[in-house]
Amino acid sequence: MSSESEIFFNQLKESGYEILVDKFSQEITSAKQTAESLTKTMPDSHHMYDEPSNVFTPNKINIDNNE
Amino acid sequence: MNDLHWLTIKEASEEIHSGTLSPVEYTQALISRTEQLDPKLNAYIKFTPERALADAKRAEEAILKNKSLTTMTGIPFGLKDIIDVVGFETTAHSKILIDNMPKSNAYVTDKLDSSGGILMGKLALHEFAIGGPAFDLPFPPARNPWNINHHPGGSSSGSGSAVGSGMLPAALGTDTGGSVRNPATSCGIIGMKATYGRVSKAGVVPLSFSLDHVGPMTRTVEDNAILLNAIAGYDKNDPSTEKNQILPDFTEFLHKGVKGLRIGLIRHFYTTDLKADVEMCKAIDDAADTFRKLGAIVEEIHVSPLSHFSSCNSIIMYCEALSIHDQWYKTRPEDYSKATRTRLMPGLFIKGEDYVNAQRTRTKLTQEINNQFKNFDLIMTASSMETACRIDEPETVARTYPRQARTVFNITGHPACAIPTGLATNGLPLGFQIAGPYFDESTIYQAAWAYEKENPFNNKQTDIK
Repeated sequence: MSSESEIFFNQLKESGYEILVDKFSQEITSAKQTAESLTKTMPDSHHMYDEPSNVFTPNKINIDNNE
Repeated sequence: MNDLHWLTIKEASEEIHSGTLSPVEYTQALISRTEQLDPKLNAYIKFTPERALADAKRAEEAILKNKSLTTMTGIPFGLKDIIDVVGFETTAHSKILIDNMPKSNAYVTDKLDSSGGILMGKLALHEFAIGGPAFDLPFPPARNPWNINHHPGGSSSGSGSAVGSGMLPAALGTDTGGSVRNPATSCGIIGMKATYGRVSKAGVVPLSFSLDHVGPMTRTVEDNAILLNAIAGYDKNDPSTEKNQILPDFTEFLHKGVKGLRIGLIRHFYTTDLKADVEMCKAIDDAADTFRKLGAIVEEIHVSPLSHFSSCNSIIMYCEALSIHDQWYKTRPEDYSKATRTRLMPGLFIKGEDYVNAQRTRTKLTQEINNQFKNFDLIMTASSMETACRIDEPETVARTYPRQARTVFNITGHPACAIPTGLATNGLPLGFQIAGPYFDESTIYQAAWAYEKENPFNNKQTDIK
């Protein structure tokens, strides 16, 4: 096991996922890669106040139609 | 008369109201159909014929007394087993919730009950609406009625299988990343994910709070509108439902036609971003030509790449789902199927900033689709990129499941409906998707009905025996 893997497995254990780490460590490694590739496929977003920075909430989607 | 099990809701309702069909006789026919087919299809987790016959007798008495009848009076339906019904466990197809007995009905259960519908049972799904098809669960996975060696789509797999096989005329599913529309396309039926906020989710086991929808699944467009009529509306117990929504009769404008309707066709989703297989691509393009022939104006439009929508959906879903499953995930990870456990796991590695950025991206993508509705009445695109693959090939399932364009409208909350077009050379259904502006399911049904009249899929029935 690489030291990087050891670190994140330990972090997961400290967060309460001991059983998961003990029984399914291979699945965890693969899931970490999936998460990393997912975030890489998101479009670049630069952070400006003149852009929609609000977090999506259900009520906001209806503004154009119902108000 | 048709075989009773192939009657549409509309046909059965007309016969029930006129007294030529008894709800008990109709229910009994569907019970027989289910007893014959379900051992092969596994669409049901809990089949409840005794309750169905009791409900049918009550419907029959109501008809004899001419009590307030609705189109759903005497019509059997099934519920995906994440929707609560008092007296029956809501298992979510999982060992985790195997003894989960709800204390009250879901809002949609009450709505169907009060409309006179007849509950036939609880239907199979992908575990917790995310992990499947899986063979390491307490219940077997549902199968495709067009070929039982293939999956029926998911996660509302039992709903698709039961309606597509003629075991039921109506079922409810839920849709977080396409889980009503995927089984609809895979099983050759109509599946509507209405506007976020149109239908209450109170009493439904959540997967992802801001992406989940409850949706109707039927064999015809008209039936789907009838079923949405029965379940739509504000519910004080679900704060995401829209209080000020206008509730039309969704069947009212079905016959209006599409002449002059402007339809934006997002072709790059299935020709460039993902490449649909040849038959699926042709089916969607042919559907666009059908709309043109019927007088609609269909123009190709371009929006952000499909991967932006699907990644955004996945990041939000993984985080929200893990927040729901966290305690079970820490204490009972071995009680999930492998499919569910591995699908929930990326949520452990998505950081707070990624979730916030996904939500910001969601707002931008939503505005982008909204802007298209300034110029177009409807948008059409692919649902799936190919027909359903074999159920016993997990690698093919894993490869083909993400090849779809449905998450777009979970991200934006717009209503979207899957419509079948015909059968591929392998004998499995093909289909496409139409989306509309917020709270305008009526125009989607109007277009879908016109298409269905021109190209009726409902006259194609599975020969499963």
